[in-house]
Amino acid sequence: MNNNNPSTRSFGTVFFGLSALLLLLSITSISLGRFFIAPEDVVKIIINLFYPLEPTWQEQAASVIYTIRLPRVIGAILIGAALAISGASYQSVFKNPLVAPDMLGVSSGACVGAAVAILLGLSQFGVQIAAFVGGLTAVCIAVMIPKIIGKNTVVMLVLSGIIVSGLTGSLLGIIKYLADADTELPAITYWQMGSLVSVVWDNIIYSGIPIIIGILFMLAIRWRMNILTLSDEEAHMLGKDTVWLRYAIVLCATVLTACSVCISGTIGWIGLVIPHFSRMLVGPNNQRLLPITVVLGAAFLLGVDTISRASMNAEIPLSILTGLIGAPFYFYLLIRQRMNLQ
Amino acid sequence: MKLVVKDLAFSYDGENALWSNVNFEVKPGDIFSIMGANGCGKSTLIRCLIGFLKPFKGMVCLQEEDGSSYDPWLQPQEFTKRIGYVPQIQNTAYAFSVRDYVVMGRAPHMGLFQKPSRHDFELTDSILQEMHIYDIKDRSFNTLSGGQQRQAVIARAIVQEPELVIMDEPVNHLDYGNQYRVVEMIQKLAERGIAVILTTHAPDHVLHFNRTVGVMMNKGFTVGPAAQIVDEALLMQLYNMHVRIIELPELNRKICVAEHSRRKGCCL
Repeated sequence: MNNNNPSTRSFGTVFFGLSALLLLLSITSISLGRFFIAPEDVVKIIINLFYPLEPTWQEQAASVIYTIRLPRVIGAILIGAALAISGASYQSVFKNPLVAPDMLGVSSGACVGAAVAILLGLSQFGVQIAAFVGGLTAVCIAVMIPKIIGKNTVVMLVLSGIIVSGLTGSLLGIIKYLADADTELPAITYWQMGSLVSVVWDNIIYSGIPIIIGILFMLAIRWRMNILTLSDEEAHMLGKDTVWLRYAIVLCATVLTACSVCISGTIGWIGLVIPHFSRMLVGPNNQRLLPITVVLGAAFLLGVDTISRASMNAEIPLSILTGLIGAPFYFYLLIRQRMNLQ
Repeated sequence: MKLVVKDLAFSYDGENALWSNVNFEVKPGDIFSIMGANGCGKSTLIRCLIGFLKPFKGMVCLQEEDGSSYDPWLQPQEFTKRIGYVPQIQNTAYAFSVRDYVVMGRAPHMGLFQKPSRHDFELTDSILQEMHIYDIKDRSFNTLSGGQQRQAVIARAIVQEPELVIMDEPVNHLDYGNQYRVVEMIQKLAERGIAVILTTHAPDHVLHFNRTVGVMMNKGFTVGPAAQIVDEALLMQLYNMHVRIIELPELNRKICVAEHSRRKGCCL
């Protein structure tokens, strides 16, 4: 691309700046916690995984990093990136910057699935599978409704998302009403508010691989997403298999969100706020926007998760923090955008 | 290249036709204007021509010299690739820069996972220069004036290197000068050998082009040379008002002037 284009130059700066921030946050996050590990030891221990070094650190530090903190940091990075890129892609497909990745009910469906599993007393792994299935089912229903009505427009899809969310909300209410108030109800509620406390290497492998594939797919077609933001007629004329592409992106974003939700529970705001903030940094062209949302989403969730586990004795559920930070920040973004438009 | 429209009819409910018996052909360099009162179904016809809406009856097909022919429903990619589309003015959902917006016209020539190449950007820049909008290439599309937006949309259609350009009311919302500039742009497209189909509410533009016109009226479609078809009686029927068509020797063409609305003593 042309080098005298200012937006291209600022894209490089922003991208590398955010990547450096992400790296710095990762090291900080691994070193912080009830058991403090010096940052230089963190770096050495991680290098040691690939390239054996002379050990100058406590054995315990290596084991804490390897079994607890590293999977958690990788989990935060993957989930933050997945939620942010899903949000940005949904906003392109639905031509609306106010859309969040759980608009078609993937998060609430996953909640119902997880709550049913908790009610049935399934294992942690069972809960995650149930969440994934619940999320996919909800989106399938949301996508089916416009087909049944026979009007396959974006607005119809948004409306059917509202129908599904209403339904899942009620189902969740019934389940919570039936749940045991001492054991099951707190588990469901805690799950609804999101946490990375239970991330282990198995999660990273089972959910991480589909997440990485999903992110790569989104990045590969990111320029073409621009076409989907135009009117339906223009997209039809400029696009190839526009309808198919739209469903492929919805499916991909759903899988990304479902994979994230089944590890961490539902985490709000990231899919809405991060794409907005990224757009302010590099503009709306998805070719530049999507790589930025990936890095920024990862850095944001990693930062929030570090605060959640290192700031107090007890862990703070993630959605509480993302809401406390995200909602006022979103308000600020809207004010700034309004001023920019005038 | 030839766009053939045969016996086309459209219906929303599958019974009552909105319009029917639409027959015409468009060849390279042609300017085909479509006239009709508000709500008669011009935009629906445009949507049928680009293969966005499925017609109730009849066919649209693009025939090449080498004998190949493309149907908008059977070979959608080959069909849409050859046709540039200029919609009515509207803001985009996101504030793309003019350059990013115009380069999207290259999309039909690119693979699913491709991004615009250096060549695509060079072509875009040269067309922006040709249309004198290169200096606003980094501005957001949504902050442009109506005239500039229209230029950018037409630039996007040209970047596509189409054989046919279909425009839905291209002078809509434009001031008097910009309307005329768009009219000239359409003539330039035709001089380049591109066929143009447009809908319009300006009978004077149709007379100015002095080419073929299709008039949509009473659910039917009449096609013929503008000079013969567009007369005072037709405009009276179409717009329900008295219009004078005068030969202006200085311009060596017919012009069209509104006289008064049919309903006497009615001020709305």
